[in-house]
Amino acid sequence: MWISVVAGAASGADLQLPPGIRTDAPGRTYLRYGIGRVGVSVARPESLGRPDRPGMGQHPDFPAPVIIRPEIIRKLCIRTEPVYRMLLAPGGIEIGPVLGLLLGNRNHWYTGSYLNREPERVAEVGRRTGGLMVAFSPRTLSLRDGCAYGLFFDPTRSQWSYGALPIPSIVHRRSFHQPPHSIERLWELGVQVFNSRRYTKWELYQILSRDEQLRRHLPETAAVTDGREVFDMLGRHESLVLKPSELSRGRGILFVSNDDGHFRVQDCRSGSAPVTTRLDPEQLAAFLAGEIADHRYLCQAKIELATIDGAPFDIRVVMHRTPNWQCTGMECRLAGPGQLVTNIAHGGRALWLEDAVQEAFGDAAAPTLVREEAVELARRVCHLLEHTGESFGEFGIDLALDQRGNMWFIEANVIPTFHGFESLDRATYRRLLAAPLLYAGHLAGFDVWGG
Amino acid sequence: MTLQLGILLSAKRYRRLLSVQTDSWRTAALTHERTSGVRLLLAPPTHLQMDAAGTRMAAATESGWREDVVEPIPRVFYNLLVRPVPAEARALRDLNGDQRVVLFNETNRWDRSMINGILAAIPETQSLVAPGEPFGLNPPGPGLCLVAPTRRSLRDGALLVETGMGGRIRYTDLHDGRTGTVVRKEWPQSLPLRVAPRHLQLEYLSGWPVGPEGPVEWRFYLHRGETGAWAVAGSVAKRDAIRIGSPRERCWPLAEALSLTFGAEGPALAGRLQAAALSVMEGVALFLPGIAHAALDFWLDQEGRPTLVDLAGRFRLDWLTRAGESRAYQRLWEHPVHFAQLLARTGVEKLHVDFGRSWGR
Repeated sequence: MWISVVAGAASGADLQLPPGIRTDAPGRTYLRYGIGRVGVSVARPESLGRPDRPGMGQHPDFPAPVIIRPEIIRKLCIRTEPVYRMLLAPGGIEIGPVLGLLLGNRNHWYTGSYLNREPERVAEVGRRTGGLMVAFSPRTLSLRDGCAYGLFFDPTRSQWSYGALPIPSIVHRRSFHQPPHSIERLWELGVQVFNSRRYTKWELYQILSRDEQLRRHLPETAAVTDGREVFDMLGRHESLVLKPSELSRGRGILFVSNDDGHFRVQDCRSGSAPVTTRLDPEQLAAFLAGEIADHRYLCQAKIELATIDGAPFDIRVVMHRTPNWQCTGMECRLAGPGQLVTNIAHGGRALWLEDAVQEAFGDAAAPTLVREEAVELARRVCHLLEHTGESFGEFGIDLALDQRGNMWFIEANVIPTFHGFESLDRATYRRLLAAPLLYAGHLAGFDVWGG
Repeated sequence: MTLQLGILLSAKRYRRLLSVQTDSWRTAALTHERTSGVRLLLAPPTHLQMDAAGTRMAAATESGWREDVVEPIPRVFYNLLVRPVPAEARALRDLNGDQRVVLFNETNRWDRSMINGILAAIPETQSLVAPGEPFGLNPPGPGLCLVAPTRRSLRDGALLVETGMGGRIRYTDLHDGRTGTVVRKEWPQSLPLRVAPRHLQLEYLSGWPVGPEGPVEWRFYLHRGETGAWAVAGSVAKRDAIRIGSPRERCWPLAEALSLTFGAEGPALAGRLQAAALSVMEGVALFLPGIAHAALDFWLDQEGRPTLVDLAGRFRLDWLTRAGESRAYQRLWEHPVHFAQLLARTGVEKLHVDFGRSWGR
């Protein structure tokens, strides 16, 4: 049922349900909101007559009013601006969902205008789930005051505003700049956090390589400790890619290849066109010791990616829990002119999988089969990562085709960006932005996918 | 045991301090080392090598600041950078994410709309902020309005704008005190804007600011101390950002200026202003728990109603000595050092909102 919360005298009780509602709730029950719970007296619905208007409470534009005593509103930090769902169960009444976006510890960074960069997400979620969306940082979660000091989306003003807010029951982790104990603290409070961990590239490789089926899709990989691993692998492979284990979006990448007794280093770290140098073995050893070792890099056999007009491309498969793992979007990312990495941030552009496969392979590959294989591989990655005991709601899984059409796993991003979809298809883009919060609404116990 | 407190400052300022023989920072550092056992060590964030055994920092000596390798590396840092260059901003961000480190005052610049938004949400402080709206193509309604930069100080580009009957808009440029008039259809292109319109906002004021010999800012310097609670380190009335009709800068002891302006009501007003300043920082710290110091500027209208017009992390200290408040200068150093001692005891997880006061709960 869709409801609005109204502060007021509730016929002598703490809470007055909408007219005509059928409920088993006794005269005294619990009211739950976020992780908060208080005992309340409920004005008996039978004394309240028939519904004022037919259809009331069946649609977010026509919510049924629930009157709550101001003291209860203050105690639970209930915001009266949004339209909510209400669940009636023998254990009590729940008003929600109260969904959280967990931000990092750079509190000064998160202004209303910062959060308003994704208005589509908020609008889509509001239409589908109703409820309150709260953005807060672990540092502004107050156990003393029983609230989170942060921002909430106020649909009446279409903007994010500050307030002392309820602690959400489900939290979507949007940042990994928090100490691990702050996540543990949320779990202890009874808050369910998803996207609970970001694995480094090296950790990912170690987890996925335990799976026999996946192993053949993983390029040979080693962690760089003192640089000897690079020389070892250059003995077996023509070219390697060196990646920082903890960075994403194509940052910090270098390519090293054999070059007639010397080595060619293509350095993409500046973000502009790669800088190429030719080094002898001693120079390469010194370079690796100075700039790579101790920087948590890994080296990986370079896949000769399929190309379109000489530019390599990869595949981004977006997976969401809906509530099972489902592919919600797939795009290809073509490297920008003169670039070796495909990320949009490096000047790449997005195109549909069917177009990319057609342009790269002509009739030699069937886009439908490529799509099926990509989804199957991505789903397997999601299941494996989830079986580590962590909780996830979305992944952006990067795959690639080599020039012979073999599929390789490149990376799994726990908080993916969707810049490519933004240019390809706004409707898909909006759906992707909303998906993790819909999953949060589902975890909170509300029907967000229409049964 | 001696606590090592890292003070982060810009590379430029660091170089300048290393080259001088005498400075007030060094005096404060030597005093602290003697009296409270806290050793202040300076470094730009970009110089720090947190994974090494030691890192180069400057320590105070009787003859000047001396740079040396410090071992072990401090684990509590107090940031005094105001406009970090990108490399410094990255280093600060990394330091903030380092689980071994307590970094407080991660920034000294706050978005004006953020501060006003926070204060407007708090019952005790909402009357202290002028109702605002984004600066746009439409001129403001009748009355007095402040056109304020969202990320810079008032002196860098604020205008006071008064819309009268007949649609004529009179403005005063707070940068140089110049005044002028525009008609509604000339808004905003004929205004002397020093900041891009997207970085400006309109704030409606209750009345013209007043003070002794013309309008002044009523300033309070606040710091967090040994319990994490906020305290007023000093206060002053100054004519700095607002130089209407009298362009010379000048300052007075706050109590004296209040008595000169409001007569017998001055002392009571001083108490109310101080309480307002404390409420502001207690409220702001609920949302920005790492904040450790600030200077607050209020304007008072003829009825003595305060409006917060600026909250700054970087501020001139010479106002205090000019107003005869030299003890306040000492407190400005003492409080954050005591706060650092508290953080060193409690650890990074306590750099947290529960240090502050709750409101309305």
